[in-house]
Amino acid sequence: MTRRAVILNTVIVGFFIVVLIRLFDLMIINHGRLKARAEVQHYKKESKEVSRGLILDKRGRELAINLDAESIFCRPHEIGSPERYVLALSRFLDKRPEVIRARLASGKKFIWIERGISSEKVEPIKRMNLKGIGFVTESRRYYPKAELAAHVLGFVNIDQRGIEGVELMYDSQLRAVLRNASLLRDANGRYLSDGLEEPKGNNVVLTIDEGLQYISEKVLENAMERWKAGWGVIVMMDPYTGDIFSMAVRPAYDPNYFNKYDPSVRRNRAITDSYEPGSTFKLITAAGALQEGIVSTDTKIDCQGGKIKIGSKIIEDVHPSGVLTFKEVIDRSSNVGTIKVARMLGPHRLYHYAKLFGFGSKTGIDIPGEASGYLKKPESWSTLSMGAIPIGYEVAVTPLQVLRAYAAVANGGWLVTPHVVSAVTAPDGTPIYRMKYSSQRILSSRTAFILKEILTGTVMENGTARLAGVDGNTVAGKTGTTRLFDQRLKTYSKDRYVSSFVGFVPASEPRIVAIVVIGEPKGGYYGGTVAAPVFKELADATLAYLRVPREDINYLRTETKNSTLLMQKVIYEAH
Amino acid sequence: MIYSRTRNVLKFYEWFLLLSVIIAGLFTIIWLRSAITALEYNIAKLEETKVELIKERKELLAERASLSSVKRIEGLAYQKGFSIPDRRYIHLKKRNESPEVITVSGTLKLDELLFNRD
Repeated sequence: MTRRAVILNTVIVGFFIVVLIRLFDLMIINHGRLKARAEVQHYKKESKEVSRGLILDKRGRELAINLDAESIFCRPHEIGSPERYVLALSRFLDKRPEVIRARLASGKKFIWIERGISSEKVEPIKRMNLKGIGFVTESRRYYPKAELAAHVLGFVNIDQRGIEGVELMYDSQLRAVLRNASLLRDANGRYLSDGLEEPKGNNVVLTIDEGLQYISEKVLENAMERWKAGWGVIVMMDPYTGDIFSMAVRPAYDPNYFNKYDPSVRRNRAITDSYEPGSTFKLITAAGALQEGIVSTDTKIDCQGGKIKIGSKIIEDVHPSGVLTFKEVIDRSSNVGTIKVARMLGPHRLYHYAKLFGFGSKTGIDIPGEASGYLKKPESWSTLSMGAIPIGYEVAVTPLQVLRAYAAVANGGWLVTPHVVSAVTAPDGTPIYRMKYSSQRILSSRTAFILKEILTGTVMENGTARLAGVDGNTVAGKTGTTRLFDQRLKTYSKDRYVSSFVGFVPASEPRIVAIVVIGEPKGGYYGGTVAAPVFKELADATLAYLRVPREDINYLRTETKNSTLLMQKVIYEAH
Repeated sequence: MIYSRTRNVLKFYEWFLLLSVIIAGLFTIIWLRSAITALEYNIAKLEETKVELIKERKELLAERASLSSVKRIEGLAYQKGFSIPDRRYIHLKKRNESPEVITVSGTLKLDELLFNRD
């Protein structure tokens, strides 16, 4: 072998040995360190965007959905001249330069410049390619029906966490688990697919019907305007199941811009605000007295010309009467008659029946923030209490509690648990949870039937709620009028009232039970004048919407089998 | 001697074949890896498109929900001259189920028997 060949061989072998040593260094000695470095360069840990579940009405119409929105963040330590950024950002984001400047000077390593804005606003900033400024697409909650059912739905904060209403109560169901994913990217920053689907939250199906909710809100809005009222509530429910069909509250707010409204406007007064129910509470005395067999509908009660002395106070009737039957006492809403019946019942039994109807306790509705009202124990009643509580004073109730009590009469004596959610479904529609109905018997069906008959009378010619009558169907219900208690003067106000009507229709086989409460109306204050006509308007539209037949029409029915079938065939084809 | 030469030739081919298989295998692995990476890029691109389409779908859903609101439909109906029907003039007819008849072939509704006969 020549000398040159030896040198060449040595160089080649030496080269390969160097390569092998380097490979050994890279793959064995420094493997761990280099692998970690490569991972830092190639993998980016990112929180995958998750979509909150939808909220649908009972017919599947969307009430709360998600939209994609852009958010802009900044790493102040990476930016050069802050003033350039301040000018650019304030111009495109319609923000005052001082606001942007203050944020950039906050001294934090990461700051949000703006969140949840449209991509149109972000595009010009993206094109400027500013160093230290980043963009992220986030999900934003959107309520397409704006104010409709806002107090039931509630709203979410910027981080998509439920703050109020169903959004808060079912937050754990609606919210998908935030997934931290490691995304693989190349040297140019291009991402490679991880092949995983975007996580989504479960959908919540309400018992609210958009159509009925709209009817309720429209009717309430008209009433608010007509009576220049301070606030108002309408709640409509299925008396047999406790399904809430609608829950309208005024003043209203748009949950898309909830920040712009005062917290008092966002309060769901149907469940959070207590008031003295007035005559609608006479139901408790009537139910207790009938259930205990103390009175019958024809029992004569002397109403003493419409005056009765309780302790040092004299309680009067609006329409003074002499001797009335028990049915007439309720129909004409006699305070004197009701107090006398309550005396026969006694404070302990009166309290027992009020508790039995659910007063002084939460109804258990699946909306947060429910108040339990106020019902004191007989031991702490004053001498005046037996004159006040039977006619709906010295007790505080929520509109929903009153509604639930009347639903018990409508359905034959069962106290139901009201609810607004009927089911929770997976994103693919598979049911995960269905509402379990619960109820307990509180009255015998006979007592409930008699009460139903009595309450039907209040809407008749001599009753206090004549204006609640609906053409073609029998209404049963009761009016209520109370003065508001002035906390400042420690006395009942002379010009601030709460007018209410609660009833069900059709009385024989109720499809709906509804309560109308109008707070601080001007130009009128009796429940029969202010709230009863609102109920009529509500019931008229609702019965038409639900296609409830009139009771005063004889339906076309033929006796012979063949002709009946012929008629049915025609109807089927027409459909 | 002849036997030994043949054996050497066979051995050479064996080695050649083995090397060819190893090299082909290596290239196949490299090709597969690059194909998978290319596929991942393609999928990532498609996912980007999908994200855009989902965004569009969300916007359309929002638009549909707004357009189909009862309030808007009622407003449009009034504009077109429609009004809510007066319940006094609506006659709802009850749809009673027709009686069932047990036949040899199974249970049939009476109207099916009467009207669906050939």
